[in-house]
Amino acid sequence: METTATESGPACEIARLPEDLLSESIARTAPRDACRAAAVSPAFRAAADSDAVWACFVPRDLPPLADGQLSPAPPSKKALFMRLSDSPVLLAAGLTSMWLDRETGAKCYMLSARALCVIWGDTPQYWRWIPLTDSSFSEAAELLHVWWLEIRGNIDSKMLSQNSAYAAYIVFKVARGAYGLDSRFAETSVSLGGSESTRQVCLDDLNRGYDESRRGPRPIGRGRIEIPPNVLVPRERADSWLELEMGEFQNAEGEDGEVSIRLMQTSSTVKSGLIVQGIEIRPKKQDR
Amino acid sequence: MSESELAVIKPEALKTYIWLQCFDGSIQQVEEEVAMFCPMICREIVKNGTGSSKNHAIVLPERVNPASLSLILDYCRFHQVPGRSNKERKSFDEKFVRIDTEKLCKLASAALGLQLRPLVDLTCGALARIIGGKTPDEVRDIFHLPDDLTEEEKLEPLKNINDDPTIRLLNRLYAKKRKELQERQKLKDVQTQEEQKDERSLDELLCFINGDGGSRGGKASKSKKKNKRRKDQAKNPTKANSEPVNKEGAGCVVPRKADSGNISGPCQRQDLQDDIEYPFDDADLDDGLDPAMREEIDREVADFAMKLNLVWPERMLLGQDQRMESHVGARW
Repeated sequence: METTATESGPACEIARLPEDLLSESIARTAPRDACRAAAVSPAFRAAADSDAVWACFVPRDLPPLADGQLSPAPPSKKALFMRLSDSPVLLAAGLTSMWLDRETGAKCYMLSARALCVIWGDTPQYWRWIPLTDSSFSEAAELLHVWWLEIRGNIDSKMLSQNSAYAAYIVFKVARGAYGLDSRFAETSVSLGGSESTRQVCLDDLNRGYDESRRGPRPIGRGRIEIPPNVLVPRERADSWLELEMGEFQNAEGEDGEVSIRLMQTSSTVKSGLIVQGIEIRPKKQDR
Repeated sequence: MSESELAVIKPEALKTYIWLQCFDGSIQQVEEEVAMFCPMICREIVKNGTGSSKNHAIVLPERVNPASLSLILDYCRFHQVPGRSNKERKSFDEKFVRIDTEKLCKLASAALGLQLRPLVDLTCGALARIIGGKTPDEVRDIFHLPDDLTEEEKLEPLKNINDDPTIRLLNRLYAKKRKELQERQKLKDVQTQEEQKDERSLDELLCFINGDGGSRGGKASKSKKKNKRRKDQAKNPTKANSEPVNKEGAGCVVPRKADSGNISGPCQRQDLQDDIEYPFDDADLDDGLDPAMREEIDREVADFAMKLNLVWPERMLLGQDQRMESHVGARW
């Protein structure tokens, strides 16, 4: 080996690596690795914070955003990635929001209730639209009274990141006076191309009116039905809304088409009190 | 030069060799079809006509050292054979980059110098696999890098992408340290105004120490060193804290806020800095920095101080250390 190293001890060969090679290597890792790399050494920092790296993490084809979403304009690609992964931005029509998954940079979306097809949603006796303060969207749909509960949404698979496993989640709350949501379980399905994924879900908030001191199977609302193991129960999110997985799909490369998402509960019991914020589509993580 | 041109386009009845010269002067010959796999060499042959003889060897860029060159030629020799399957090529590539990191870096440099794009991709991918998923300390270990980011640079919080509890703790620690650095900075400012008073208190301190020389005879040098450091930054009385002092192995009992009459604010800040300074004993925060570096660091600290002011309410929630809280409580 050559002994031209100026440092004593083992030669720090990587210190002599040209910055663009280092950037290229870091660009092949993940956003979290790039952030860590910035804390290794000044040379690593320069390479890891460069636009060359973060341009690889920010998706090339971002959909058109609503006015003023990214102002002030982020000064660098890294700042852009951080902005997009920290909180959602509204798309042009204001009905859908988008953000980036921090781990992978995959595009995530939420279809607001207005962007969905809520059957009977325009009939004031059945559904009403209430204002929201804790969301990017201004309205949510509140169920007053239906027999036929059906909500549909779709998204073009081209808007999503390729070669990623996605899942759809309905984001909702249950009003205090809700009833009928637990008497039968709802059926959900997510389909893309030829494949379909279905679930059975319980739309009621299990903690509503539940006395913590009790033991044994939890009664739900007033129904007191035990939930079979294959039925999904709502999970509380960080923003204190509830969510339920409706199904999953693989967005393989070249698989263009529409992702159809559907929730149905059309039994003859009356349902009331469901507040729907929207349907979220994001990469499915292993533990969920 | 027409002779060499003919030599290049001659049919392969005879194997033609190309002459390559590394920056260190060593010359070697390589089969033509192997050498032509490298775009840079190819261009040299076609445009400038070099490489046909020993005297007209192609001079390779400086970053192509002989060891990397022979690796690259092995690579070219394998891949330029047209009949290989993708599987074979992939498996060769995988084995090819299983070399130590030093060689890998040199190889990547050399591949870039020869503009061998597939090999650049391959080596960058291998480096990415090495860097990926490791903490900064681990990366520094692997590549034998010195830890030469300034304290402030290192203290920039890691983006807590997955709400990793370790990163959360680290960020809290960094926030604490930043706060101290900020205080130290303020201390420096205060010090310049109150130079004279400080000296007086230092004398008092020295008297106290010398007077108590019996119990600390052996440790005198250490306390002097500590005092020198204090003198450099603040010339304020130091405070005793059994924890960090034990770390140094010294049992000195230095008076607690010996001269609290002067500056009560900085005194308490000095406490904080004593508490946490010892783990950073090795860090060249004050000693060994030239004024230019120090100025730069001061500027950076001021920036951080500004940022801290913006997110201070948040940090207050994060910093759960009892000791910190009591000091902070006393001040705020």
